[in-house]
Amino acid sequence: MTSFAVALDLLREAAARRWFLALGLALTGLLLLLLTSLRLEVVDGALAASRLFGQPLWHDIQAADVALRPVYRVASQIVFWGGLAFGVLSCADFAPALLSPGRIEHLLSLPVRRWELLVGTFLGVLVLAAGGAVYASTGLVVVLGSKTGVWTGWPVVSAVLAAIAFGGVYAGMLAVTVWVRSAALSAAAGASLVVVGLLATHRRTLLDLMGAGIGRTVFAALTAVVPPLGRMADAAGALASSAPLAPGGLLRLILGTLAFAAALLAVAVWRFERRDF
Amino acid sequence: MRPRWLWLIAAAILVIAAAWLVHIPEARPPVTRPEVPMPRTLRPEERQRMLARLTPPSDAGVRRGAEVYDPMLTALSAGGAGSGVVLEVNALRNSPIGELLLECLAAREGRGNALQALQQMGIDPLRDVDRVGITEHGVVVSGDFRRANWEGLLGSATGTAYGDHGQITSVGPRSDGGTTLVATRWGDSLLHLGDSEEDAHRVLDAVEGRGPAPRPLLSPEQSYGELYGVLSGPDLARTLGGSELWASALADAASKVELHLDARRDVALVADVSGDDARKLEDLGKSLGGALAMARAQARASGDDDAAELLSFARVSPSHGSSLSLEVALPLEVVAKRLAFCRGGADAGR
Repeated sequence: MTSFAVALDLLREAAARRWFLALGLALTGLLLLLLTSLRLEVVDGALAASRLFGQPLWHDIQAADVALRPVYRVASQIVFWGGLAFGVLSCADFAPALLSPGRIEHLLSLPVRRWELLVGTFLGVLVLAAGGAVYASTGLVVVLGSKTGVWTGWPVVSAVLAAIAFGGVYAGMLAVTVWVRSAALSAAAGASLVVVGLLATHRRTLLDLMGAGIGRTVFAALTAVVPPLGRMADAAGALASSAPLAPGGLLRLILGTLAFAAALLAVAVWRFERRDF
Repeated sequence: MRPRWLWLIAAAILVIAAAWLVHIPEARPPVTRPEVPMPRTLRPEERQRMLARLTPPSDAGVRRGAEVYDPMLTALSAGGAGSGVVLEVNALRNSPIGELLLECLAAREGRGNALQALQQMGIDPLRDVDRVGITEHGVVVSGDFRRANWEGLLGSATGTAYGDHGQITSVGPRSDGGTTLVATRWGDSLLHLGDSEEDAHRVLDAVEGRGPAPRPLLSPEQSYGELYGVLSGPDLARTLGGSELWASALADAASKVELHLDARRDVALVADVSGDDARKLEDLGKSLGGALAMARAQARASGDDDAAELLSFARVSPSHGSSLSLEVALPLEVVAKRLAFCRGGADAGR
């Protein structure tokens, strides 16, 4: 429970620092950009014609939900990768702020265990990321649904996937910060994890192209552990667009990403427990 | 208070769990380059074989020197050819790959095949033939031909005698309008099939040590592998065919290519390319390496896993001065899979 209290405290701090406002404005702007650049009247017109004439005006027209699949797929990719990039940049200074001189001593003087402090920070950031992703996807669903009459909850589920993926990345950022209190280094660690996650997606293909040696071994070891973010993004896109998914694959990806995040958190806690402030 | 190292143990367990969970098995197997030993020098058994083949000089007193020589390699060098390839028929026949090839041949040709026709003439290609060498001046076959029915094979039991042990037989113009075939026998161990009597004389003179020594095409120390030889750049370009661009680049950069193929179990091919212009050779090596990598990636991208697998077995070693090396390794299992289509049976593969 104490961890949740710490998480709530982080959310309050984020609100106080107008993080929510900035995040909300950015996402709203992104949604507006998407809406104004999409020619939704094609779908709208087809639906109107069907209602007016009692039959489709163009015989090669697709069902509205099928026509909207690419839109949802693109939107989920924007939420996924945009969310990762935004999250890495905007959340990079949470942990360094937590460990800043004066504040950390104050926090440690409270009846809070060290691991609860770290887990609470992690949960707070995760809720922040999930809130942003769910807000963006829900906004898209509401706007498109009200215009086309097609309502689906899958884009929101895919946004949760994006938040889980960010959880894995942020756990790495948090672990690095416990060693070196630097927002820049934390952001660099997050960006590096995103890149390695992308490489892990194409691990087999890249390994095929590499010659035997220490470089290949290091690459193989690194990409075996880091969640394949590209595959997560593909799964999120497939979910959002109601495309078929390999059975069992998504569950393993989610559990693997959570285990990866938990492992990095455990390392961070181990280091945090040993540090003197 | 809990020991702090419990966090590290938890992290290790979680990392292993994460690796296991995110590793979703893929439909295609990983491509790993097999560890196949490359033919780079004479193996002990090949050295013994090479030494056993060396023949002392003829007693006729006209031999150029006192050094021992390999009659087969000497006969190949006689015409002064720039390219020549030797196939160790006996060694290949007794290898797993040879077995596969024979099964393939038998399945495709049936019982009335060319091998049986030769067996009826007293030559069992699988037992009596030791090596077959090919140059632009003809084909040289070495082995044990004591049981050969020369009359059935060449139309005459004896030919025109030449030198100490030579017999030259002209087999009339071919029915398809081809040139006359001149068969040259040296004792019961060497047979040369060429187009002219001049070639026949050159072969017998070289083998019996008359006249100036021919420039050796292959030395006995180079006789390792089940197939070996030397190709000039232009000959290699002609042999490989393909695009005009590659052929001219190959002929331009490579002056000589030395080939060695080991087929005792897995198939391993080494092609050492040498050239006069180090820069051109380096560019050729990089081009070949790049083309292989591109073709491999393209095959993977297009879902052609068979081609990608085969391409992954090839490697170009960077050039060192005036030579570069191309290595191709094919495990026996892969060769068996490739030959399954012609062997028939349950594992036919199609």
